Amino acid sequence: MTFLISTTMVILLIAIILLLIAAIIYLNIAFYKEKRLFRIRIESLQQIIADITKTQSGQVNRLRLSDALDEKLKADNATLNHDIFGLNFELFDILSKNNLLKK
Amino acid sequence: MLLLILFSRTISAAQESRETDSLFRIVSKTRNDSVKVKALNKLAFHYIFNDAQKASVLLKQSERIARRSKSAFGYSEMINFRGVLMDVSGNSDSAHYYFSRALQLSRKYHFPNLEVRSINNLGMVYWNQGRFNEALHSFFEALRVNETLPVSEQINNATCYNNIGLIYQELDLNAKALQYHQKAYEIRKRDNLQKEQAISLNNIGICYSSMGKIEESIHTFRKGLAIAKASGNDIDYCKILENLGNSLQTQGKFDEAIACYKEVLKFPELGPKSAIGVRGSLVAAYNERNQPKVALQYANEGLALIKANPEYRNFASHLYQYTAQSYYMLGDIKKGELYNRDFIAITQEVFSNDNVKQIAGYEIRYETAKKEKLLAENKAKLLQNQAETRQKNYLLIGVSIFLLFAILIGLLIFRQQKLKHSQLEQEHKLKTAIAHIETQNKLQEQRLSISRDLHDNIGAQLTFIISSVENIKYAFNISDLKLGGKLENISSFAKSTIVELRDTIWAMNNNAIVFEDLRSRILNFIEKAKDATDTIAFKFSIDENLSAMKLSSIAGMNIYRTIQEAVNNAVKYSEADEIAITVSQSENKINIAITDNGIGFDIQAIEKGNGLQNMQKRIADIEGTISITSHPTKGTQIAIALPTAVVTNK
Repeated sequence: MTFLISTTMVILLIAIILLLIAAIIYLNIAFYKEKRLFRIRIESLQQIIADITKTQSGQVNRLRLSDALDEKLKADNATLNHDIFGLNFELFDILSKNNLLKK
Repeated sequence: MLLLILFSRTISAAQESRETDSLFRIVSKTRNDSVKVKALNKLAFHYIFNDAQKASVLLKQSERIARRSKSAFGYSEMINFRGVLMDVSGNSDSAHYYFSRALQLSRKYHFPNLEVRSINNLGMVYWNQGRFNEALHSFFEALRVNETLPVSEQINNATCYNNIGLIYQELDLNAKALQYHQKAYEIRKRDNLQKEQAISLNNIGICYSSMGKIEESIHTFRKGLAIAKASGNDIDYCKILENLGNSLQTQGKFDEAIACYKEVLKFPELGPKSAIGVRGSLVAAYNERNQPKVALQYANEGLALIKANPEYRNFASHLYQYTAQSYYMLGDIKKGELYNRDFIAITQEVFSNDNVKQIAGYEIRYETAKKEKLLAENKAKLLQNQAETRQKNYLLIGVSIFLLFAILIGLLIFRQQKLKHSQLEQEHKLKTAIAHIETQNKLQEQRLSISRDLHDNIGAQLTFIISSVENIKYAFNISDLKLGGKLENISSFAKSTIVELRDTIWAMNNNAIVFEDLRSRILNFIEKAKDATDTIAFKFSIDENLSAMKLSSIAGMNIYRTIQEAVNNAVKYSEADEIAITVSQSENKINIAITDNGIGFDIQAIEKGNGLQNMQKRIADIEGTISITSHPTKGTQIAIALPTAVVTNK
């Protein structure tokens, strides 16, 4: 009887062990599959980041140009203001010398 | 006893008289005691079967020398041969003592070969005493010890197998007997021992016959006959022939049986016992063929032999029986009755002897069976225990493996969960980063859009100023030089500002600038410069490989402005009639050279103005280098070297 029980137990254990081996194989396959899928997903995200970073870099460059232009325009504006003021001054001076100013 | 002799002869091999002489010479001449003892033992063994007294003297001499020289092997061997002498002399108790002593000594001094021989001899003693079970045990033990020896030191197993087979035959266990005789035969066949092969085949044939397998027995006897004849072994030839005749007679082949019996009778070596037996068989065969007269001829010969050898009378019951049958067949009832009475008298006498022997045999068989059963039961129990232990071990190993695998699975699941968690975290970080950058991009796009609108507006205002100034100059005849100069200044300043504005907007409208665009822009600028000065010839060349290369908007703008500044300087100050712009690619650099063939200048003598400083700053901003080479009357060259990293293929 004991012999029979132990035989049954051994068979049962072998079956369970085989089942566990199958589970281990399945888990390993699932693990590597998951890793592969994640790598693909991450690669696409990284590609997106690379693209938008590139766009951003272009935009930053353009903004820097814009800022530089703004500075230049400010300086030009001052120069132009000065020139126009000088022109007006000369004009009033001429008008004043020729008594053409309204009284 | 005959078998003991055969066995002993196998051990010592056939000793020729020449050999005996040579042994005597060794005994008389050698000074080596152990060699002397060995030779004396061999001689004694030879004389045991011929001259027991001489053998005894030689053994005593051997004992004396062995004791003196303390030769353990020689002494042990001498004791063993003394046992053989006792056995041959019929003193089985003494033989038992000597063989036991020889066994004890051989075990003590570790002479395994002698141990095997002693055990085997003990087996022979037991057999002769009718103690079959102990005899079997001894033979099996001898086999076991013999098999532990190196092949070169082993004695021939065939003798042991043969003896075991004969004991099983005695016990009427013919199937087992057959098995061992066959083993003995295989070994003898392998070793090409023809005489022994014939003996084995005879025994095998007898076993088949006892088992009722007559065809097989006839076949085996015929095979044995051929071998015995070929080896000149007459005694065994006769025995096999007689047994063949018996088998043929059992099968009803009387003519062939008669031929066999007659052939046996031709041999003079045939002893009276066999001669009487063969004649009895002939009488029976002729009776079966309904030839009682011929049968009586052989019956008379047999009866004459019994008269001459009365000790064999009890072995001749069949002769009396078949002689009576012959007389009955001839109608001589009186003589028939006479021989029949003799037959009954012998049978009764033999029966009482046989009965005692048979009861003893049955007792032995019962004991043997009982012991075998007990042995089998113990063996079964042992096997069961072993099986249970094995099962328990398997169970333990199984449980351990199960636990190990369960832990492994747990670890795998934990690893998977950890991986998932870290993946989610990483993915979340990346998505957050993407969202952040996208938001920044949108904001920057908005800023760019606003600044574009602002610049468009400024451009429109500058155009309006230029247009207004031009209208004033056109509508009023301005004779005042100072006023005219002021107006001209405002107009040209506004124009230069608007050009700069357009250039910057051009650069800002593209994320990247292709060299080809830069080239057309520079060419456009040169065309305008040409309009201003017809005397200067402009050349522009660009490496074809660079045409498709892209520059960032800042790099493009800085390069464009630097070239523009260099060309302007050359036009204004060099008095050159040729200005060349060359863009080329070397190993890891992009080289831009602006060369004129003008008056040149002394670099050390001049002070760097805003233009040159701006050029240096712009090139340094894009990690390039600029160098100016000029000598009075030898023109000027401005060389710009840029790292290839400023350009991309995409």
